[in-house]
Amino acid sequence: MQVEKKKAAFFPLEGVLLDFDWLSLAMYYSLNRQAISERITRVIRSLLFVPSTKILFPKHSREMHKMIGSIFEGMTEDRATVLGEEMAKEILAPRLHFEMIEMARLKRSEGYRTVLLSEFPKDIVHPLFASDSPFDDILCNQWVFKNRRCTHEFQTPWIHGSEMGNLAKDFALERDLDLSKSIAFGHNTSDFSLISIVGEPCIVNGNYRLLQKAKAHQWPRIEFQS
Amino acid sequence: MNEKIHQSRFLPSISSAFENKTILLAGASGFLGKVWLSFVLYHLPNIERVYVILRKKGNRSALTRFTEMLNSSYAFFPLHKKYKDHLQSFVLNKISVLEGDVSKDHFGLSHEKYEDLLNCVDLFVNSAGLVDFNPDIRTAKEVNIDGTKNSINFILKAKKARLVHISTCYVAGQQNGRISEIVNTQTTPFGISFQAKEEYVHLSNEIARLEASQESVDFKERVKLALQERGIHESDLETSQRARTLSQLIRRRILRDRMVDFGTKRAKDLGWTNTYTYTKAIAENLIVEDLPLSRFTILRPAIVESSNEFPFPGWNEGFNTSGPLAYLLAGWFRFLPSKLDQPFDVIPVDYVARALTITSCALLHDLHFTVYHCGTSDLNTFTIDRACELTALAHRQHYRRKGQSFLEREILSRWDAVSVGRNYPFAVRRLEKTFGRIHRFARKGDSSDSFLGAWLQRFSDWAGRLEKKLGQVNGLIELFLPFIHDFNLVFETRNILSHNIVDKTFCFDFREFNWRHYWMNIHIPGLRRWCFPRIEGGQEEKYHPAFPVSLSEAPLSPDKSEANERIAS
Repeated sequence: MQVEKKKAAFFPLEGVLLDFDWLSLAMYYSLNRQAISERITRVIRSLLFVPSTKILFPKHSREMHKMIGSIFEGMTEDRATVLGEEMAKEILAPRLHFEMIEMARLKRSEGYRTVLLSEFPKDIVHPLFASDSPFDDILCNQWVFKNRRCTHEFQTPWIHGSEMGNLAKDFALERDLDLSKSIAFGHNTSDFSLISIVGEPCIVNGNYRLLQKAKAHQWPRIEFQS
Repeated sequence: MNEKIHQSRFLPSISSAFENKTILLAGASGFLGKVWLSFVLYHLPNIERVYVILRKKGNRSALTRFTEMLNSSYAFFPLHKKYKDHLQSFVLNKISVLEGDVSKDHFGLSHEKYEDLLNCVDLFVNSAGLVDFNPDIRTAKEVNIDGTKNSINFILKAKKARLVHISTCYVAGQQNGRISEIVNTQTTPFGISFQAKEEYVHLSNEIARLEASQESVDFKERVKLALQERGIHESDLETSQRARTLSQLIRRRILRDRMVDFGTKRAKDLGWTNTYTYTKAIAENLIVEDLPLSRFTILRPAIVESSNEFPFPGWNEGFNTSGPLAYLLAGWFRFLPSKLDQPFDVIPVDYVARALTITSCALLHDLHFTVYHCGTSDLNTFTIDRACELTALAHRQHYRRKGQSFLEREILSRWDAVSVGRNYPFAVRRLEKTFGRIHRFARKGDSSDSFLGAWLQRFSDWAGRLEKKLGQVNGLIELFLPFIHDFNLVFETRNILSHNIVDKTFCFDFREFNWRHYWMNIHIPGLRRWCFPRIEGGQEEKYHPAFPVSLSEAPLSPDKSEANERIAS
């Protein structure tokens, strides 16, 4: 007798659960560096690098993340952890989309394995869901530290928008999950790689281009006031 | 002296090692002494008895002081919690307070009591010491050296007693690099030939010479000058009682200053950082020269700080080393002179209490080493720049959550302290000089009654006040520079680990210690509660147990030896 495979529900953090971008994150860390000189240089870098990466690298690439990563370079592990916790608890937690947290709980109760995917570093994502987490698994990036200081790189596997589909495939293969019965939520076009590989894609407050695609594929849509 | 330090010396059960053992403890009123006494009574109640030698202070007898300590110090909180109303009988059965002084012959005890101690004591823990960095050399000699000499005499005469001597890692003095767990009996840290006994004689002679110098013309001239500054002339001494008292005070102060200067200079000339480490090093050498190896061990803690678990997380007493520095960093002071990656060898007091228990156990089982370092720089290095950043982050958390004003919540919380070199343009000693120059320059300026003159006067006063404050801060930092800037020392801490203690209660393994958690969530909040109020001139927070202990009656125990009974009575 064939055992029925388990199904998963994939939730990207950025856009679906939270409206918070890299620029805000980079600015927060830059403004809270230890030395004032560091604060000034990192704020300038953040203002220059984060918007320009979108123009220079329209598709996510390692170069883009290296450029953003250089904003955090040199920060101590202690500061990264403390600021991460502070940011998660004081800034991000109140902004989480309650509707999608409830959705994750619902999906879990329906037998889905709930998976959170995030480009943000572990120091932020883990404290954000430290208690009463509706997610079974959290896949997020992790800084590479050298001599207790951040380098400009993330540990592999490097998680970013266009790679999320491949990551979800590997994750499902490793854990013997059935993608055709799985569900994934998407907010913008970078989530397309993820929602296109599952049997039940769903758009959450989708942007214009994703909504066009959703229309063509007749994907269901969720809209709520954030 | 050089032992094979990495071989394992498995210890049998700690509990059984202490069973029915009689302990003599000196220095029970100190930070470590209190915690250890409480720790032993809590975890090893099967000991026979602890004799606590305590000095009389003013009108307060040793027994009164001990009772007050037991009823007001949070170090004994776990005992109150565990024994509740039975603590009184427990303490009466386990503790005897002896009014004495280790720096005096026979510890200042009667002949009979001393003789009885010689017969019944199994373990003598000498944690008495003067920990001020640059005290009057007479007091330092009396407490740190004479106290040790008396301890040596006690051990030599005792039937079976063994000595655990508490010293400090910083007897290593002015040098850099890895420091082995040995006692250098031949040379000073500068490599100058050194004999502890000769140094002791030299020290005694110099103290006598300085005391005799009170009769010199030069000394009398200084007293005269000081009196004149206060508007008192020589002729007043015959007529005014106040003038005579003041003259006595000035004489004492000048002599004291000379004694302090002599001690500091002698210590630095020979290679130690201050009088404290110099006198402790002489004491160690005297022990090694006079006692057989089987009868003693030396425990050298590094910088002892807030407890991690026992009596409860964050408990602290007094100022210690990081207290004043952390207090400075809690305000607008921003640039801490320190070296990047310089080890800051801090150790929680309860870890030292564990180490003291392990070394005592090893000594009782004859499995001990001569010297045990009790530090963290070798096992799990904590650096001064990391300490500086974690302190800033802990203050940040505090001000963001509990800041009293907008300024504290939004500005001071982000006013992070930074580790800088000593010659950094905004380093405190440079700022002090700059404001001194501004003060003098503005004072020389327009002295007329014009608006500019008045403004310059106010500006000069402000700069002068700031110069004075910065001078105080600089003085404080200079005191701690050997620990945070001048010498890069790593204290090998292998001997204690070679005993392979598995029992978590006594385990001393620092390799997995989480510094961030300890510093931010335990130590700095602990300092904020116990240390900062005292720096600000407030009172120490007292513990008020539900069942206070009264030790007014002489402790009696039905199953004591004859000697124990006599001492107790």
